Amino acid sequence: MRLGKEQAVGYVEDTEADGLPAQELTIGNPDEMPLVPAPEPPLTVS
Amino acid sequence: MARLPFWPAGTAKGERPDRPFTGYKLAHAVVSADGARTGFAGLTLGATRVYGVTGDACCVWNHRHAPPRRWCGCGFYCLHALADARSLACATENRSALLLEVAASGRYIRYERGLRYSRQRIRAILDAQCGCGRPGAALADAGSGLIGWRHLTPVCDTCVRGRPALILRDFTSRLDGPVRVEPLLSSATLPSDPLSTDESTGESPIAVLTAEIALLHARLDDLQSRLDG
Repeated sequence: MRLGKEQAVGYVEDTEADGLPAQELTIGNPDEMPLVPAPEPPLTVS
Repeated sequence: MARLPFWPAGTAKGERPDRPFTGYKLAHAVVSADGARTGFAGLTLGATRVYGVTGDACCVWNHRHAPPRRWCGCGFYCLHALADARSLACATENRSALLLEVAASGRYIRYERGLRYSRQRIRAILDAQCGCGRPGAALADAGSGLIGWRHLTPVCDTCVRGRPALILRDFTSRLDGPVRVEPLLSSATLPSDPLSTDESTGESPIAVLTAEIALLHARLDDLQSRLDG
């Protein structure tokens, strides 16, 4: 992609983000499989 | 190891805008092997990397510097003008890409026509066009992909028949964050099926022509029979 002549450098915060955590997906990483909730412990009735 | 400085030597100190840039870019839609997750893949330099709604760029050639580095091509790319992104989407190799609106932030290098930057949040899908020219209401398997991810290609209501596909809203619901689906820009690119009906009568001009040819044949047959008689 041709962007033309460089004009400036800088830094800007994403002030519009709604606080969602950043998540980068990677290829072939088994650690990033969909999360499954842990089973809840059985209720004990006394 | 010490990180190389981002600021290029001899350049005036950088800008500090108070809000992220709005930019426009193209990306391929992808779906995970199990169909549970969706994402985006770049067109050229980032074609082998899948990213979600928010992402931080990393250099595929040199992990020791932080994108965007001036003498490297790394970082996310976007264009300032929607018209430029739509023009880019006309190229043959980009026809199956989605047109996206993004919020560009983090470190950046600003150019005449766009940005190279370190952090991205995808706001909206602005266009997806079927290979036949109609708006792509759904995304079907493109027949290509990466390890763990299948490329998707936009397909219209007609071309999707008989094919497994995700409608755009299903695609966005499988992303890792909210993304709007705007009315597709390609809906207004060309008149839809302009030869299908005659505006004055509501009849197809092809059907009218066929009927007139049949009438002409009948008159010729009648004339021939009179000559023979």
